[in-house]
Amino acid sequence: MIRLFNGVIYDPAQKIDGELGEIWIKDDKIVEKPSAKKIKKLKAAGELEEIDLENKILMAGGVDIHSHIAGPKVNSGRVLRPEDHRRDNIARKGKLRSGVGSTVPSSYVTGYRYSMMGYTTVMEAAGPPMKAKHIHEEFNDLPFIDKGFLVLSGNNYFVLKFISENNMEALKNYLGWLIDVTGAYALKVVNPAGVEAWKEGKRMRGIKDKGTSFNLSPSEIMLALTEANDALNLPHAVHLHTNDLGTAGNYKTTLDTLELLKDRRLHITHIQFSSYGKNENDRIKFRTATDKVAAAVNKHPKLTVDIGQLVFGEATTMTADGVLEYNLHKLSGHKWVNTDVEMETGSGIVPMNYKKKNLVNGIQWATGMELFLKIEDPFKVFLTTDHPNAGPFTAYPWIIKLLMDKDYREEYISGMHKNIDNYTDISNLKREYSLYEIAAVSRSGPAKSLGLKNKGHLAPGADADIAVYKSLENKDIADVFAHPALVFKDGILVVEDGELKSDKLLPGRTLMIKPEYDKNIQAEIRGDFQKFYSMSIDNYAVTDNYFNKVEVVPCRSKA
Amino acid sequence: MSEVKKYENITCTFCGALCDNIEVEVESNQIKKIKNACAISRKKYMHALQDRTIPMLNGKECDYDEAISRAADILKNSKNPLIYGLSSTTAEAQKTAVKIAELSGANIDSTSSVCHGPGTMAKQLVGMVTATLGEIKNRSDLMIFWGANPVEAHPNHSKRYTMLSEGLFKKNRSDREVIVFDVRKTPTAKMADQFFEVEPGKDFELLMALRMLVNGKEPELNNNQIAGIDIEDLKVIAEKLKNAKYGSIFYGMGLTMTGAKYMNTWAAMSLIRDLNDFGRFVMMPMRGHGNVAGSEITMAWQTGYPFAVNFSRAYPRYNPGEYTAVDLLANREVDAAFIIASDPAANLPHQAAAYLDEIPTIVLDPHWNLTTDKAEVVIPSALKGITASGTVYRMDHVPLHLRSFLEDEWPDDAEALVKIGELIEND
Amino acid sequence: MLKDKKFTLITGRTIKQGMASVSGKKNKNYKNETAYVQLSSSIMEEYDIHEGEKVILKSDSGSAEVECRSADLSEKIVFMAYGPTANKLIGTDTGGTGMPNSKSKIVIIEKKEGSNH
Repeated sequence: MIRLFNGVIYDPAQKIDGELGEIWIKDDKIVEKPSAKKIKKLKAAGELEEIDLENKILMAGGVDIHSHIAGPKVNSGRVLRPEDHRRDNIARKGKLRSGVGSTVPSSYVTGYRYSMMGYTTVMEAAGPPMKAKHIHEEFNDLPFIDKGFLVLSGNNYFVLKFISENNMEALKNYLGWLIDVTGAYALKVVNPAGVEAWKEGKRMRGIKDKGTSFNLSPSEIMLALTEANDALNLPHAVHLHTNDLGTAGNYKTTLDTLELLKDRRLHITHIQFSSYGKNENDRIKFRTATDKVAAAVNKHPKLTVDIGQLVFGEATTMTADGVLEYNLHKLSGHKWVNTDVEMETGSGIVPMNYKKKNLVNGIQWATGMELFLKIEDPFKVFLTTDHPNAGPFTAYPWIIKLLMDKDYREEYISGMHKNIDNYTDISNLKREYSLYEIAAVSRSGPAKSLGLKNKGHLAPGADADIAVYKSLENKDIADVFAHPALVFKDGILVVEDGELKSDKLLPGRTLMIKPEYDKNIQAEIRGDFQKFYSMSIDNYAVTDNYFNKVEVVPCRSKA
Repeated sequence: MSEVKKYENITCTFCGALCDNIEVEVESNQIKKIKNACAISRKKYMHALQDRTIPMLNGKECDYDEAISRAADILKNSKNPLIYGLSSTTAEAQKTAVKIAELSGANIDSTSSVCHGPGTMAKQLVGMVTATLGEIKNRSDLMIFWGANPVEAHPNHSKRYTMLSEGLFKKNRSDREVIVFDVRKTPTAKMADQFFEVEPGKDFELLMALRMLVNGKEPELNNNQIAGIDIEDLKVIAEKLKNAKYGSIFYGMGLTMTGAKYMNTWAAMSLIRDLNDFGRFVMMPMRGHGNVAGSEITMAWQTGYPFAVNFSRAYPRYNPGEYTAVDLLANREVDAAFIIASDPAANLPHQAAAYLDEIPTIVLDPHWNLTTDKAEVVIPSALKGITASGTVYRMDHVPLHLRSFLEDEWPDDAEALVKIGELIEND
Repeated sequence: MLKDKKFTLITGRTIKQGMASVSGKKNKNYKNETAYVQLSSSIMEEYDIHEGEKVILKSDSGSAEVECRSADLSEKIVFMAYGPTANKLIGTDTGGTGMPNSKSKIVIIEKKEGSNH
């Protein structure tokens, strides 16, 4: 067993706010403190390792609810951008494989760098079902972190077909089957109807109009999918990338969406990209619209969001929202990848460089910050950069510093475009996050939203995924969060003093769910599948040989 | 009487179309009947169990483990080895080959570099607008084949995915217009509505002229022709391209192997990109070997780069033209070679392949080929998709899982590579 | 001068080459399917080459003896199936791309000494 003592514990899940305490680890779990007798026995047998944390910060391992880390789109981004990797080389060391970094790191380096920030669980944000085997192949080369993937379902042929036939039972069973055969963790919905429209060469705006050959509005699709999500008792809500993402004035679409789904469980991802106002008569069309969006978020009882905070510097935008990447390509002139995936989804990639002095980029940055500071409940809003879209995940320590240190934030804003205050109100926001709130937005909150009961907290029964950071006293906050003193994954010490231990390449687990559904659905869809897919339904499922270390997370108990 | 077993939805690994609807009947560990296979695939299955390699050292039969350990020794003792091939093996083997390259400070390159590698280089400059094959089957109203001849290289492609397939919105041949650009009237050209004979080496000019016309500009002319095609014809083509609702272009080695190499594909990618201002338009490389797409995919997630990778500094570096097989061999830069599921002696320029005679060469392959003649070490292996399972990636990057349905006496490529890797790592 | 006439050598796939390549690389059939050149009939006529006659193809990287077959081709190109014979002519210059000139090599045709018909 391991005893970590003299740690200053921040565990919002248990409402522990900076209390001195200790944590006991047995194998890969956090356990109750053993009896005095047991402790004596362990000591005598030399089976107790005691580590004095000397008042360092003790938190659960970080949980990232939305990050593009594996699969066809990420990998296409890697191939697309040799210039992204060339100056960021990681040599082989001990058992650690080599690789490259920057905004689209190789699979191993992705695992290393999350782990080196004290993160232990990451959700791949968007997987096309028919390429799910690829995601799982990469997962097996993505060490040190537990991971699952969100399966794209908002523009899927069978989803749209069953909704248009008003066949909710078939929809539910199909989604259960889809999650089951692809080894997915939750449902991802991207620009519902809008991606199908892009493939049909059409454009849509808002959530009310019908605009594709399926004759469905985004509203109809979202209502049906959130209903099916609950009927399947999925641990996570529908994970939504809103319609009109990235466009000036899109906060209205976001508010309409929140109103439409006001009584539903819902997660809106990278909401920063969905919270822009519009200046009709200004050369700069964008402004922040965070007052209205934050108010709607604060009011919604079953909603969580993550931010997708913009980070200045290189980024690689990638999304299932094909038309969005086309627009970004037209806007920037940068190289552009688009991949339409039959029957299921679209996707695109465009490299970007966000500039601190660029006013629109500054407005986007401020939008994220304002939302962080205006959304009241830290269990509702989570830290993400929509990696690598708004910036790389390696910027989290810097974002934590911006949130925790008002003076640093103000100094930073003073170096941005001189007119930034005309379009934002970030300069008026004085709130500073506490360590407790940081622990909520980076661990406890996302774990709870995902329905990961063993993660994001330090109570007995939790996975022994633990991060220890140096005390903040006289130190740079970003530096503290970028270089944890200790990181435990599954009870094994993997990072010491900010460095990965090179004696083992620890595989993480693949997280998946197995909802209940009527398996006859496969026979029901077989005819259309065999005709309109380019592969056989019998070769579609991700077979067991792709799973090295799986944890099936239970679905919610029936209401 | 031995039992007859039937297997359905088996994936043929010959070409990048990876047809996954093959039916086989098996009796006494022999293939008795095959359905749905093309002419090449049929030959492949019928011949699969013949001409099998055995473990060899310097032309003499040896134990399997002896061959494995000699292979590990060669890689350990060489200063700058080359690992090459990979396009006809599984992703599991490809991944392990990358690990071996890392462990031995090797160069690793796939047959992609003499295939669609230049297209991948073009993609790195401009990006690519593409789709899965089913998307094209379901939607494409205009199909163009450019320097590609699937009738002979991917015989079932047109039936399963393009001209002759039944799709969701496009039901049959008459729902699609088909145009072929090539330097010769291939069997594919004979299936098209229109064939345009391109002057050899003029693809770049032609693509750029079309791009100008599409964007409303007039190319400069000498004789009213570009690449041997009348400007009036080109104007009509440009209009067709613009009016397509969901156009598709399949390109082959006709773009990557001619003079301008990757710049040809760059021009095509730029044209297709621009066409998305009008309707939708996508493109797809006609990948030749069964899992050549997989070789780029697996290498990319492990190293960040698709081919032409060097590990001499213990981290991956990428440079086509330097770390590519033809260059490394022709410039005599490598001091050992490990050829995995490929036949460079048949497929590479002869001066490059001849250098394999001068350095220790290891071949891992289930069948004898021209390269096994040059090998110091021959390691036999099981047959992908017949006696060995694993993952392969189709030309549109759709992964498929191969199931084995016959017994083999030899381990598969992945297992051989894991063993070699362990010997190097634990040295 | 007839002898100086230059052709672009296009190497490529044929269905028979594909079938032969999976039926034993060491078999004679593979060699046969990769050791002939296709020429336009007008070039055959101009050079006075008969169907099935052997000629020498030369490039700046090598030469190869191949059997001639007439085909519906432009007069600017000659075609050979991919394989070891064609690769005697291709050369190793990749122009810094890794890709040799597999469809852009310039060749000339020489009749074999003493060939008559």
